[in-house]
Amino acid sequence: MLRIKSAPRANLLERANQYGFDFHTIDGEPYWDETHYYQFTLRQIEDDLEDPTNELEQLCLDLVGDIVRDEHLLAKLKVPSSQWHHILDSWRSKEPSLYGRMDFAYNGQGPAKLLEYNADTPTSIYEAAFFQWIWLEDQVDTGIVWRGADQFNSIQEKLIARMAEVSPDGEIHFACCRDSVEDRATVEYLEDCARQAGLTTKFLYVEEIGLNTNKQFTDLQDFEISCLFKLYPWEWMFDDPFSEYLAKSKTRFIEPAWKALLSNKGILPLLWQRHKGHPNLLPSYFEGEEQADLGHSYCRKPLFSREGANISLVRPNQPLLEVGGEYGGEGYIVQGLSPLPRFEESFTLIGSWVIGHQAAGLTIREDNSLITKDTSRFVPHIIVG
Amino acid sequence: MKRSQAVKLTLMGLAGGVVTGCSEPQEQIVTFKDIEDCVDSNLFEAEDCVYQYEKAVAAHQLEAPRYSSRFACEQDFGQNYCASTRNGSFWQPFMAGYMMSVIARGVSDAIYYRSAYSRPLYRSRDDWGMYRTSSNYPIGSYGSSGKMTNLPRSIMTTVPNNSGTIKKSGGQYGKKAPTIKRGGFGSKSAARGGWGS
Repeated sequence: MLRIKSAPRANLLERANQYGFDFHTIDGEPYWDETHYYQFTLRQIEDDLEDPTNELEQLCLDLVGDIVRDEHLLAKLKVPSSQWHHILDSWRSKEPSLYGRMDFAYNGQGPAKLLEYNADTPTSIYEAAFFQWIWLEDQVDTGIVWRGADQFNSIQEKLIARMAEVSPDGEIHFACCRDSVEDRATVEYLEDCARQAGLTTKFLYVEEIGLNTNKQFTDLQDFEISCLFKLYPWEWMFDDPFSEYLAKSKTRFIEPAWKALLSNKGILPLLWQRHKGHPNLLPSYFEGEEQADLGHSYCRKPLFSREGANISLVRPNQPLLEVGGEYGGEGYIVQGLSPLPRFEESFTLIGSWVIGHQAAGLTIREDNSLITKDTSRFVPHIIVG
Repeated sequence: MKRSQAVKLTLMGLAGGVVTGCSEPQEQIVTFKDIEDCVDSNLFEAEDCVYQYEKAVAAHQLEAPRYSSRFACEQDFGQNYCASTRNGSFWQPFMAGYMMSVIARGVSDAIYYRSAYSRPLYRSRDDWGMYRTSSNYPIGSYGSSGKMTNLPRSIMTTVPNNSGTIKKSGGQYGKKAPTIKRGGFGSKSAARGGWGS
């Protein structure tokens, strides 16, 4: 795993405009960063990232099967009891999952360590699946990158294949919240993939979803929504006024309700409890239940948190590193620290995409801090050798 | 190779652009019960009526809703208004009529001929006087043959592929229950601003 300086494309802005990439710069700072790329060997990709992702996915699915039937665990994950049945139903009826992203600490040597699983509302998929692919194509054409280079990125191909499997009737409604350019683009990209899969699609904002006299969710034309992709977290849906209609709803949700369990950081201690010593897992505990193998350096994370919010790093003889936010009311877990590798001033996080339960490609994010956030830079990668 | 063979976009960026309701192009259409109805209207040549009817029947095979039982189908379309397919693997409603683009009129010109559409129409049990598309979109009154109507073009041109889905129960096709409230999801987002993970 190498970090290599590279000349950005002269026509980068033109490319971004051509392909609808409206958020390559966030708050005046570059978000898409092609002044470097990462280079992996095929062995690193397959043995250290792809295989572990597939294996962990299976461990996660086994874990869901345990949690949905265990009231003690559901309570421990702070899942509202009013939704337990709904979640169990979604699992029992095998409601399909489209995608997720596992985040790893990995430096090219030794096992990648799972930091968390963004199983419900992962973003950066357009950048990873599409724009990163085009970057490689362009850089090979201009001779900046060697023609034999490959990329771990079959994300779009797998997304299109999976779309047809997740829709029950050939139609999917796509929804995200108002006022986020990134979320809107992410959803538009997924809608694009669904159309390429031959499905009929419609878009509406989460805030526009309606409820009809049959207590079913409707779109803006009052049609009942048979299948809804929502870029909106389950734990927020559970708190919303319409949550009481979820159980009797005929809408199929993507991600399905059982994914609410995997996006909960509480799965990290539960995975460790079941697979203590697994090379891709870090010692993790619910706060207050720590054991000695946690070590003196650890990370404290809320059960529900996004974009690095409310995460803190505790290290002996070093000041507490902390990101603020509004999460954490539901409790915390602690996880042994596996610091992100550092390349010059940048700390690097590897996101590994899971499409239809299969490892499909990488998102690489860099930050000047050990805690990766929504503004962390996206850096492309290649495979050589 | 560890990457997609090829990638493209059909909607995002300069490839597409989101089609919004208010700016969507309209298509002028006419509905008919059958070929005779079309010929009697004197709007089209008989050969156009036949050609467009056959196109609608072909589309019907592909897009008509499919049900696993006669009972489930009849719940939505009424008693004796469903037929099982030749191999008996599922049930479908009868086609109640068809709609065709007005530009099909006098289309001896081959270019126009190809771009003229026709689509099958159905009548739901709970709203018998209304024509609907296979996607349950209401088109206009049954029997109003020859009356021209404007529709969003996508309703005419987007053919839903229902062949992959066989519904086990009825109750999803027909008159829409009115929406009584909106805004019951998304309250957290408004409170917190943007997010993602």
